[in-house]
Amino acid sequence: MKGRLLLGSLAIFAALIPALAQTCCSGGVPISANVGLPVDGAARWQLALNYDLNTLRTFKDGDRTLNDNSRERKTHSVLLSAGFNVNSRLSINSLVSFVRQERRITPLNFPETFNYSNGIGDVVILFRYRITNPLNNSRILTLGAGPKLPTGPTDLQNEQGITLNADMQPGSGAWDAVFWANYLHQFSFRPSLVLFSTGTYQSTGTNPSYLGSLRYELGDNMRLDVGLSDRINIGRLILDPSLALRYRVAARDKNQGQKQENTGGEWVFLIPSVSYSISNNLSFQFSMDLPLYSYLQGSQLTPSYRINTGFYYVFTKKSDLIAPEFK
Amino acid sequence: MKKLATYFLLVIILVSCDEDDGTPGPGPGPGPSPGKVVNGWAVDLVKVQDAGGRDIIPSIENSTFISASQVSFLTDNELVIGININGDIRAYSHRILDLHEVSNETIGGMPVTVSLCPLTGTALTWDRTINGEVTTFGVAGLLYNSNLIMYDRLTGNNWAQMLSESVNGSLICEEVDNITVVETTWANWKSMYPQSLVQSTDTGFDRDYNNLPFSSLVDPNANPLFPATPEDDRMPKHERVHGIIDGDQARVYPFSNFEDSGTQLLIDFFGSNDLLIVGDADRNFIVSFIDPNSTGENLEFRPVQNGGEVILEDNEGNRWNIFGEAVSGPRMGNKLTPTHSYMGYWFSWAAIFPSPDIFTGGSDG
Repeated sequence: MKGRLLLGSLAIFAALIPALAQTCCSGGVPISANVGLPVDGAARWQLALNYDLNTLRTFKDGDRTLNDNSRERKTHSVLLSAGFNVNSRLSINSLVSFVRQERRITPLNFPETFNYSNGIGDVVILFRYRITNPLNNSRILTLGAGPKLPTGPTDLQNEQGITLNADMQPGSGAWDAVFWANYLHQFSFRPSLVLFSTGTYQSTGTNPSYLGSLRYELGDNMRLDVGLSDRINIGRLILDPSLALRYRVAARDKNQGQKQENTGGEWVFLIPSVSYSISNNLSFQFSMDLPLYSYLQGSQLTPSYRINTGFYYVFTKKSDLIAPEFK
Repeated sequence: MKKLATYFLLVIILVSCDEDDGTPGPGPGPGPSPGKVVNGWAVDLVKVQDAGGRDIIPSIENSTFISASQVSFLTDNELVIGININGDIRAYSHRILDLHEVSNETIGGMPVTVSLCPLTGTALTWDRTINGEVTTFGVAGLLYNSNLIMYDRLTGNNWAQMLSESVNGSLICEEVDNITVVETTWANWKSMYPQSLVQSTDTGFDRDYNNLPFSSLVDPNANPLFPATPEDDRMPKHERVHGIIDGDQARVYPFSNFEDSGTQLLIDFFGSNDLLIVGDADRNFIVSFIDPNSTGENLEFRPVQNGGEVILEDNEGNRWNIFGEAVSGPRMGNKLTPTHSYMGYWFSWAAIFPSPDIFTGGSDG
C-alpha cells in the first residue's frame, strides 16, 4: 500500500513539473515548483533529474493571439532535485538547475538573429512538513516553505561584451520566498486513484543590480494545480498516468518601483503526464504543458508548449517495501 | 536648390576615430563619441544595453496613409511627429511608433527613416542615403544610455539615435543627415496642417495600437526603465525639453519658459550661433532656428498668436511657419536655418550630453 502511494505520489510529481519564474518575454526557469518530491518514509533520500523545455513563440495581446511568429524564446533546463525525509513528517528538498536561454528572431524578409546563454540557475531549498497523520495515507496534507537563492549569474554578456537582457540570464538576482502546499486524496473504492492538488506562492524579491544599477522585481506569482492520477498495469508494465489543470497568475514586474507594462497575466494549462516504473526505486516520467487559456497584460510572448521528462530515484531499505499496516 | 531649402541637411562629418587597443580605459565617456574607439565601439560599451535582439521590434516598411480628416485613432492631446519635405507633409503618431520605433519612408521624393525612442522620448528623421547608397534602418535591439540604437541593413552598422552617428561598424563615427521634425499634439498638428497625410494603423503588422506600453513615462517623475548615466536631478527625469546640440554640448529649453499664454519667442546665444526659440506650452511645441540676423540680416521677429502653421512674423511682413519657411511676404520661399535639435526627456539629455545648460531666461515676446 505504501509503495503504491509512493508511486502515486511520484505520478503526481511527474504531473507537476511546471514553470514558476519570469514572465516577461522570458522562457521561465522552472525552479521552485520542481521541488515537489514525495514526503514518504523516514531517512529516505530521493533524487530526480529532469530536462525541461519551455517554448514561447505565441505572441498575444490580452487574450488575442497576434499574427506574428517572428519571435521565439526557448529555455532548456536540466534540473537536479535532491530530497531527504528527515522523518515521516519532515523533509528537505533542494533543486539546482543548469539553464540555456535561447532567443531567435526571424523578421519577415530580413535575416534571422539568434542569441543564447548558459549557466547555473538559482537554487531553491524547501522545508516541508506533513500535517496529517503519517499512518493515514488516504488523505495527506503537506505544507512547505523555503527560499530561492540568487545563485545564478545575472551579468552574462554576448560575444560583443554587451550584458544580456534580464530574461536571457540564468539567474534572477533576487531572493524569493516560496510557499507550498500539497493535498492528496486516495479514494477507497480505487486506492490507486489519487486526487492531488498543489498550490505554490512565490513572493519575489528585488534584484538590486539589474543592468548594473536598477532595482527590478519580477511579479509575485501563484499557481494552483488540480488533477487525478491512477495506475494502469499492462502485463508487467506499470504506468501512472495523470491529468491536471493548472491555473497560474503573475503580477506585473516592477522596475525602479514602477509597474512594468507588458508583464503579468493569467494562464490555464492542461497537463497530461505519465510515469513508468522501471523498478521499485526508479521511474521515468514525461509530461507536457498545453496552454488552454491565457490573458496577458499588454503584448507578450507566452508559452506555446512545455515538455518535461526525467528520472526519479528513491533510495529504499528493504523494510520500506513492507507496508506499515503489515509492520 | 529650392527643394533643398525644404529640409535641413547636416554635413556628413567624418570624425577621426582612433582605434584603441581594447584595454579598458576611460573610453569616449558618456557623451557623443569624441573620437575614441574601444573594442569597435565609439561609445562606452558599459552603457550599451541588450534590449531584446536585432528586429525584436519590427520596423515599418510599408506604411499606408490617410488624410487628417479620416483619423479616428488619435486623441487630441497625444503627440505626433510632423515632417515637411518638399511640401509633402506627413504625421507619424507616437501611438504607432511606440510599437515599431522605426519607419522607413519616402517623403517628398526623399528616402528617410522616421524613428522614435519611447524610452528617451526622442523623435528624429534621417536621410537614409548614406555615402550615395540608399539603405533602410531597423531596431538593433540595443540601447545606448537608454536611447534607441538602429542598424542599417546595407552595412550592419549600429547607429545611436540621439548622436545621429554610427557607433559600431565600418562607418563608425560617421553621421547621418537629420531632417527637421516638429513634435506637437495631434490637435495642434491637424489645426496647422489639415491637409497632412497621417500614417495609419494599417502597418502590415498585427498589433493593438490601443495598447500604450509607455504610458507610465508620461509622468515627469517616472524613473527610466533602463540605466542612463550620469544622472542629473536639476529637473524631473521625464520632463520633456527641447535640446539644441552644438558639437558635444547641449542646451535644453523646458516648457517652463513658455508658460505664459500663447506663443513665445526666446532669443539666445549658444555655441557659435544666435538662436530663435519659439514655443507654446498650450499647443505643446518648441522649435528653434539660427537667427538670420547673425549673418547680416536685419529682421525683427515677433511671435504670432493663433496663426495656425505661422508662428513668427517680421518687420518686413514675412510670415514664417513652424518649419521655418516664409509662407508669405517678400521672402516667401526662404527658409530659416534650423538648429540641430529635437525634443526629449531631460534624463536622456543629461546622460547623452552630460551637464547640459538649462535655459532659464525670459522670453522676448
